[in-house]
Amino acid sequence: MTTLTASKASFNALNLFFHKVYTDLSNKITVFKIKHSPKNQSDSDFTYDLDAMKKALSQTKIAVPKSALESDESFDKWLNE
Amino acid sequence: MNYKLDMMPIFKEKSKNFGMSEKIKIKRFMDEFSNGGFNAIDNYLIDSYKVRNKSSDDISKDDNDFIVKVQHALQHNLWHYHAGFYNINNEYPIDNGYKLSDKNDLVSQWLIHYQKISDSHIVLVDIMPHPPLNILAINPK
Repeated sequence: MTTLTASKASFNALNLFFHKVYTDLSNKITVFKIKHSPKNQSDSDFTYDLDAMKKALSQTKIAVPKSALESDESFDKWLNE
Repeated sequence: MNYKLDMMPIFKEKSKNFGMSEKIKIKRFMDEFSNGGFNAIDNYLIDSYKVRNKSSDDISKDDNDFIVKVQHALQHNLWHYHAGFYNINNEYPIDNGYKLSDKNDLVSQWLIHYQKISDSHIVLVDIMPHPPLNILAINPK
């Protein structure tokens, strides 16, 4: 009976200890994530296709002529040139 | 003031395959920039709500390539603008392609990715759905 009481006390002490460590660590991890979040207002799921973006950026850009934006039709025509 | 608008060939190639409604929305974005520069596309309103336009360095923390993508976006100054294509499952009813986000701005499934060279010069890079479609993850059932 004495042994059981001691074990329970030890268990409770350990439980409290680990609970405190867990809580402290959780708080630190949360603070770390917030501090390292760009602008602190992250979209929850934004990402992009890195390979596709690299491929697109490796191309030679073309200037959009003013005439292409004169009307919806001229834009469509320019896209299909 | 003169605004400079460039485009990568892949952006042009993809754009020509959209329907007229989507082409008009791409042109609307280009018109806005051509008339008012970055400030115009960063403050464009539809039904009194701002269309989301933001830096692409704000990657999900769950992305396996988080650091690489953040660095790549910062290195090339990549931004994305919500294009407003398709009212999928009637979830994007505003302007037939947008829905109101929990941040009270307009978001859509398709994004116009562009490189911000300066407030008066951008390069349209690519146009993609968000999140990128993973064909391998589609269940044939």
